[in-house]
Amino acid sequence: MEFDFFDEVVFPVIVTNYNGDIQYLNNALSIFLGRSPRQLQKEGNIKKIFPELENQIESLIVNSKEKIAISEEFDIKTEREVKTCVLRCRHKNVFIVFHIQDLTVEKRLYQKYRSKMDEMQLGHHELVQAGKVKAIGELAAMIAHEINNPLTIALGNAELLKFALEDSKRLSKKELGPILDNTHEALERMKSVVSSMRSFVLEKEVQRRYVDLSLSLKKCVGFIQRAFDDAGIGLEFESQQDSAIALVEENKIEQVIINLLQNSLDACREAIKKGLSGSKKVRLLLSMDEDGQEYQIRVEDNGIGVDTGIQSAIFQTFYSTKGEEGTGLGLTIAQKILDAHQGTLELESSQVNKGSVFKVTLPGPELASLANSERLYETGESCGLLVVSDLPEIFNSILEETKDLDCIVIFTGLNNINAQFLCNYPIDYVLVLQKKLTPQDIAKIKNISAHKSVKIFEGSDKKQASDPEFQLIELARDKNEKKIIAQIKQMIGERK
Amino acid sequence: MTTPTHSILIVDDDQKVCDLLSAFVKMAYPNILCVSANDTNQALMKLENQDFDLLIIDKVLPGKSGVDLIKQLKRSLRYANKQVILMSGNMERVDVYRMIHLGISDLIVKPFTFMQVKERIGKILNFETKN
Repeated sequence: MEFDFFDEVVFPVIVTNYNGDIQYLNNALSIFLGRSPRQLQKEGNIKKIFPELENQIESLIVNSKEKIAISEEFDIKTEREVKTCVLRCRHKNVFIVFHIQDLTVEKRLYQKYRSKMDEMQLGHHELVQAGKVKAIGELAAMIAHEINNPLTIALGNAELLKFALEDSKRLSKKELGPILDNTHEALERMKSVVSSMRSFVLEKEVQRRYVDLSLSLKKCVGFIQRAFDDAGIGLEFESQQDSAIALVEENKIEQVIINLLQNSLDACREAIKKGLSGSKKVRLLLSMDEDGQEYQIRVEDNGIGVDTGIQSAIFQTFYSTKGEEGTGLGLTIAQKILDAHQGTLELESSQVNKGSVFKVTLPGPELASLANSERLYETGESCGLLVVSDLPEIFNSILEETKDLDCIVIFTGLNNINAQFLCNYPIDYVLVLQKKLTPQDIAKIKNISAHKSVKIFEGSDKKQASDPEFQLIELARDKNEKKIIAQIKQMIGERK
Repeated sequence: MTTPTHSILIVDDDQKVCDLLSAFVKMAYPNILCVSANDTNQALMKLENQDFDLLIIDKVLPGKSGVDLIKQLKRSLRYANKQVILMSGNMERVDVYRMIHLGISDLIVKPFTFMQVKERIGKILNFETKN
């Protein structure tokens, strides 16, 4: 027989004609299936040997004219185990050669690998949580103080009120007002401490929102200020942006910044311990890069610095310079968070005993709104809307409302309109939501909206609104978000 | 208005806490004058200008801590015999033992009640504690 050479082959092989009638089968096949060659020959057609592939076999034969055709995965029950295989099929003159590829081992390996990966991911997640809990432990004393002070004030003032109720002569009416105010303010303070703790510990699925980064950074400074005061180390915050709107998960970004500030605090403490001269201070700086595309947040300190030899190692998981105190997770987590925000974290510069500068970058509102848009510009069919405002809340409600509309919304702050960037994108409408505009602002807006069909200006200043290039819609910005949304919907409708 | 016969210096960085303590003291002992300071330097300045019968000092102060301030006072000839109450929101047993060695007269743990404040001050300044 001309197929005799298959006898020596260790893979199971069957040769058929076009109809699938068996012409030859090798010894390996009968061993693989655990059936005698005679039994298999008796079946006559390959479809009978693999009844589960009956439908596929015909198309395999047709497809195999061009190239090797491969069946879907199927299971074969043998005496000992269930094997996962595929059937490979190829043309040879008037014959069709089938061979069975056993994937059992590969599949088992893959499953093992998968389950290991899942375990590792779970482990990593737990470690991240553990890192946070540890960070909280470090802050515990501070938090006890944060809570206890307002608690003292609230309880004490409540007691004063009780006295006043019992004996109205003991406290004058004039004295009662501040007592109530103090109680209320103290309770609010506790509420904010508890909620910032909660958002730090609990993993919530939070949607990204537009926020003013400089406010978020101020919050971070407020949260950690006491630790700096206690250590006698200065903490300064400086923003080169009047408003810095970014699309972020706010508490995650705060977590990153607090972590970096904490690191700088530790570096300064170490420097004091080492007896390095000069007063120690940490600066938090917010600025925009030259292209106006991303924000840069720098944390500068004049602490002990990072040794050149370990500058790349500090970003590795479990690498810590703080010995027992550190988890070696802080910077790893920070980098992960920034990755998810299309941002970066790097050690910009560092000198031993002189200090270091960590730089965080986050995309500006234009880039972030495009990157996070569910629609793509490729189609060129969606409507492009540019919203110019300095109010993150407006962005958030427009984002929410335009989700289901066939429209791509790009947000930009009035202070950093990036004309160079925006000219790459087809914008049909420009919507300016700003109460007061300077002539420079108007020039900027005209610049980007030069070839757009509709310009809308929302504001109270009639003189500016009478500019022929602007179409005024009367909207009181504070309460009338619905009106704005309705206007947007109308514009998109008109375009269609 | 009764003329003050005694005076207390309250040192806490939180002015609201100072106000509350003053209100408590005024209610319990109308003849005590309360003065407040928000950090160590202010406290030292006020001590320089006025003679106080009692100091109530918070443990956590910006810059130099309350404990440091007490140590400093106890080392100086002029203030070594001043009566001091230490106030803290975060106190463990070991801290209490540590504090006693400082030579303080008493401790107040935050959050405190009116009666606690009244009793402690009364005991130190030898007022009769009635009602």
